Amino acid sequence: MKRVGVFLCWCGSNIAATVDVGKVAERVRLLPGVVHVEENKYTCSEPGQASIIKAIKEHGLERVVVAACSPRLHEPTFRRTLETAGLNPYFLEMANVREHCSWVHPDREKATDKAFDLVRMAVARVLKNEPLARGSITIEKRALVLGGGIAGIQAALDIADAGHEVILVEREPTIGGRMAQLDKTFPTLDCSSCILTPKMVDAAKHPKITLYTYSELEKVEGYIGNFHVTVRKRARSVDETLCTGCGLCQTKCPTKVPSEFDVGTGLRKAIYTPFPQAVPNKPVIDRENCTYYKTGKCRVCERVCEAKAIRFDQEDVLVEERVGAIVVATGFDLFDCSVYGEYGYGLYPDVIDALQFERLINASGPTEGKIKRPSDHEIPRSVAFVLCVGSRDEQKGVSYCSRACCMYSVKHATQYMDKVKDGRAYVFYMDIRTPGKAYEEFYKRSSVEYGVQFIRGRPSKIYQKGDKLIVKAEDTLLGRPVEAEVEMVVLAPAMVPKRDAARTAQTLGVSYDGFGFLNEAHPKLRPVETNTAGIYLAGVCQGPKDIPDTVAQASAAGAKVAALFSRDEMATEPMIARVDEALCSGCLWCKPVCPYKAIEARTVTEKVHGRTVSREVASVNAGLCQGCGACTVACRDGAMNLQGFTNEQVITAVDELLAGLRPACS
Amino acid sequence: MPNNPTLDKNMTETETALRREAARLLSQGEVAVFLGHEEGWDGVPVPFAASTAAEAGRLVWNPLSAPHLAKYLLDRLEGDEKVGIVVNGCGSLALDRILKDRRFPRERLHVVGIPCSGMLDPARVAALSDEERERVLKDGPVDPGLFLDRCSWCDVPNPVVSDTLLSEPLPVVRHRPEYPRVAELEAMDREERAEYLRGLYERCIRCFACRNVCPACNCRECCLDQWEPLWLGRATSPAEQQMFHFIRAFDVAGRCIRCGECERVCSVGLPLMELNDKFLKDITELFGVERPHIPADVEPLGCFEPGDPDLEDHG
Amino acid sequence: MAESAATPAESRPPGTAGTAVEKPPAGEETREWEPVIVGFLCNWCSYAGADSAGTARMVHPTNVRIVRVPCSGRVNPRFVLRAFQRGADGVLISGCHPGDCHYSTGNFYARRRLLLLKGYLEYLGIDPRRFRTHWVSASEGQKWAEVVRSMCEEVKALGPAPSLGNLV
Ligand SMILES: Cc1cc2nc3c(=O)[nH]c(=O)nc-3n(C[C@H](O)[C@H](O)[C@H](O)COP(=O)(O)OP(=O)(O)OC[C@H]3O[C@@H](n4cnc5c(N)ncnc54)[C@H](O)[C@@H]3O)c2cc1C
Ligand code: SF4
Ligand code: SF4
Ligand code: FES
Repeated sequence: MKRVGVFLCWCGSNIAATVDVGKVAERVRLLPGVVHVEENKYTCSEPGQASIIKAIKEHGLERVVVAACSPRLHEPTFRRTLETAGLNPYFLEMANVREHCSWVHPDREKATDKAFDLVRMAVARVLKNEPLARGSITIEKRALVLGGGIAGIQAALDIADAGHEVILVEREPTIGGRMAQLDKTFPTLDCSSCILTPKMVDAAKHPKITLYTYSELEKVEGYIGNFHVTVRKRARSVDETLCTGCGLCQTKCPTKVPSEFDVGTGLRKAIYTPFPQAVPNKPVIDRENCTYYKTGKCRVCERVCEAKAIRFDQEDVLVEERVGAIVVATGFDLFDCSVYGEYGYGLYPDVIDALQFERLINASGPTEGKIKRPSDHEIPRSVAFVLCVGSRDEQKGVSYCSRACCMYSVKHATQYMDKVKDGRAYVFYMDIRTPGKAYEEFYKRSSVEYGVQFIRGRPSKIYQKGDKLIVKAEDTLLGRPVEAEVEMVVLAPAMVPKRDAARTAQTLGVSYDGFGFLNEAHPKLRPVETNTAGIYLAGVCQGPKDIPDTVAQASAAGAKVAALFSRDEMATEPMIARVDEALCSGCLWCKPVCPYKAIEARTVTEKVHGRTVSREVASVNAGLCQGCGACTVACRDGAMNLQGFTNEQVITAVDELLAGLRPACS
Repeated sequence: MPNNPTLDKNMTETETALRREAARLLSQGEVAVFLGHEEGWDGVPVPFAASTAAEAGRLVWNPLSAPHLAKYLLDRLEGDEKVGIVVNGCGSLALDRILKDRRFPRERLHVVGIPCSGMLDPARVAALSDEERERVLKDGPVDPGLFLDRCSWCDVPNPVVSDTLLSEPLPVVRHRPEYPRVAELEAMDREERAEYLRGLYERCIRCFACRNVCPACNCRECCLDQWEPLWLGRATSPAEQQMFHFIRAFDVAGRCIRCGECERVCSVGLPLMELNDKFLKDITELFGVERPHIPADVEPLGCFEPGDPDLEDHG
Repeated sequence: MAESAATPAESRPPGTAGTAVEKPPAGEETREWEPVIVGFLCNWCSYAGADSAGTARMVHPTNVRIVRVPCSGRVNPRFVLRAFQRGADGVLISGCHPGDCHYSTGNFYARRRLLLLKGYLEYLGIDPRRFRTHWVSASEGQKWAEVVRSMCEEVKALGPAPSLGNLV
């Protein structure tokens, strides 16, 4: 039997005043395996630890039990002590005789009895402890950022500035995301592209950043520090290395289609860059609409291109990259307002959504910043802004609040009143939410200085009457129905996950919620990590937020990546799951319960009766396993065990506690 | 809703077809061995592995072909030769259990399926007088109680896994599983029930026949046989037997196919399905799994719903 | 500091809790019977919650002996039956509130297993008051103390758990 030393701490009088430590010592001395018992005034102090080290050496201790405070406090301390003394740090057990005993049980006799039981359990358990060693995995110091909105751009810049290579993958022909579509940003009303475009250019020019636009993430394999990703670079039909970005092709192209960037409020060509400041400023041919691809005739762009950059036969290219970390910043889509048939979106041309309004009011938008309503290009004399279209509506939309709509609608109303001085702006709202620096003040100003009128109530119907629109609602503050006659209506749609968010999540192996927003590892304490180690979240793909929050989260994700990359290797915790391959049946029922996708099948070959046979067993990835132990219970054979909390250890503790309680059990 | 089991009138033809198909598979080298039944010493079919076309002539298919064969695949894990196997409806559930537990590769199987409208319980038939037995085996029983228990509620007459079917699929009438024996026990007073169960544990002789026959008990090394940790003490005592049957029932909870083979083979005739059925019943009631005995890709304990019933006690 | 050489361990001292009813350990006077309750607590919430009960000096009965596990998802129902079999008068499992598990989903799996277990223990004839499950967060020291107090009272009123017989 291994030689156990037990150290009973007085913790000054914290323990000793209640627990009769001397009596515990007397009883502990008789326990099997115990060769040394010692009381210390403060075991965690320098002299306390020194005395453990001395005893380990003098008495040849092989296992150590410290009965003191909570292991949540000092387990790391005493592990280090053991290590200093040359013992495996995991040959330690602690008995919590302070928080769980002396501090809560004033009855000296009972507290002493309980303290002894706790030590007894620890002694029995420590005899089952196995030597454990930290492992390590190498870290590939390159990151992949998926999505080139403000979140992706910020994360990429931060990681690159920390000196690490970044691959930025964006599905659209340009980076920039939603922010590029915005006109001004609340609460300061500074121009969105003025603050975004320089960042886009920085990202493109950064020597450490490789940009893949018009590209899709195809496949992700591997784990933290060692991901293998495959990116599909879709055929632009333009040789990027030759194209000078002169834009001649776009002016000459005869085919016009509604512009996605302008949300249908304007037109673009079949060969196009979404907007003039696009990065990279190289066009793509939209093969679905291009006359040449449709009819085999045209090729106007090819003829006008002086750089000879048009490549009708270009094909998609698959690029493989190795990265150590991934930041997901895939952003959001907007709720489809036509779900609310009663609002007439899609039916009445002058009922538009907030993003279309951003384009209308934007100086580089289709109306060059003049607010002209779509039906007759007249300046509307009155506008109703309707909040929570889809948000906070479990019946028709989503249950959550989209967080930015109150503020941007206040922004829109203000902008409108600023441009149409004699206009009238109504905001129909359920609640106005302004949690943010200078937000409430911005909201106040809109009504006090600009005369925006706020009506508390969700419209029940919007309909056309002549060239006017009637908005009917119940003013819930006044408790009476209201009707507003306006010339344009702007709906604020809920922010919803990207249509293909679930598929993206599955490709990455991260979890997502019932809506499709990606899940953070912990709602409070680990807001930018996912449950898959090495994959981080930034921006609205995790949940609705505005630009300041998006950027903060992106920088946080960048910092997490930089911290991970600050070392060449990552230590792995030894208290993780381990498979006994001899026992493992290969059923893999353990696999679905692992929150970190740490379990995979592995083929082992072995000799059976002289024949070489192979079979599948479970294998635990030390880089991913966090040691929760859920898999151990799913495993019927007991092949899956949790180091540090093995089946043997738990059972031993239970058995030891209860041994001797009943005469028949002996 | 109970099922009305009947005996298939064409079993002799099916048997001939089975022999022919097995012989073909074996002679054409499509399978190296074919798992079926042959006639045992007392006339009751016993599992049999035919490895030549000639041996296939010994295969039988009759109203007493009750034993499931899937578990015998585990003896053939090593090697890569193909194995033929015959299954009826419930036999295919046992096979699917082995497959869903990834204990045998589907690619190595050739499954011959036989739609089945009922099988007799060999023990019950054995208890009949000679003439009565002859009549029953020939013309079918008058007493539905002679069928296997599982036939009385079975709604899987057609194999769920098969490569060839030997006869036309039968019409399927789905019904919600019912657990009258569990309900009866639940209605008892707790002490009374404890006493009753104690009586059962007391009689268990730990022959492990239940585990050995169970298609869901398919681990490489059963935890009940392990020494470290000693999940199960080696002494025979009601307490250990309780542990034994608890571990077994919990380990097959969510994977049990409700074939009742454990109960059928129990050396001392313990009503073991009273333990398994409790889990099946609760799985339906707590997690809304309608037919928990059908092997699924996701087992009820391998998933969860955020809205699962509350667990917290109050007080 | 007191220090002493070891005595060879030929005799195991008797367990001290829960001992009195059937055979008081030699040399100890018979005391009022006290139940023994085995507690399986997850490290991140409930164990920490019990620690906060300690830090706040919230007095509660001594009967619960805690076995620390990383997560409620680590609790194998076999452990629970084992405890009852070896003579525990009660078993108490506590983890993070659903949705708050340190490993995000551990207690959801635990909840399914323990729901089944709960029904089953009762089916086996074990009084449901002897097996309790709670969600106690790291800040809920008060709740922990309450849970212990109420469970101890209940189990004490029930008396010693009936035994199924000899174990070797
Ligand atoms: C009408 C409106 C007005 C707003 N006004 C303001 C304001 O004034 N102030 C403010 O602070 N906030 C405002 N917001 C909020 C702001 O738009 C968001 O906070 C911000 O855009 C979020 O940035 P993001 O990078 O997370 O997402 P996005 O901007 O959506 O960027 C995501 C990027 O990822 C790309 N992508 C998506 N999926 C993939 C994939 N699978 N592979 C590769 N790339 C992918 C997308 O193409 C996109 O470029 C407004 C929002 C709306 C709708
Ligand atoms: S570890 Fe256990 S649960 Fe996992 S595959 Fe092996 S036997 Fe199955
Ligand atoms: S211990 Fe938890 S994290 Fe580790 S493999 Fe098992 S289930 Fe996954
Ligand atoms: S960590 Fe507390 S329940 Fe999972």
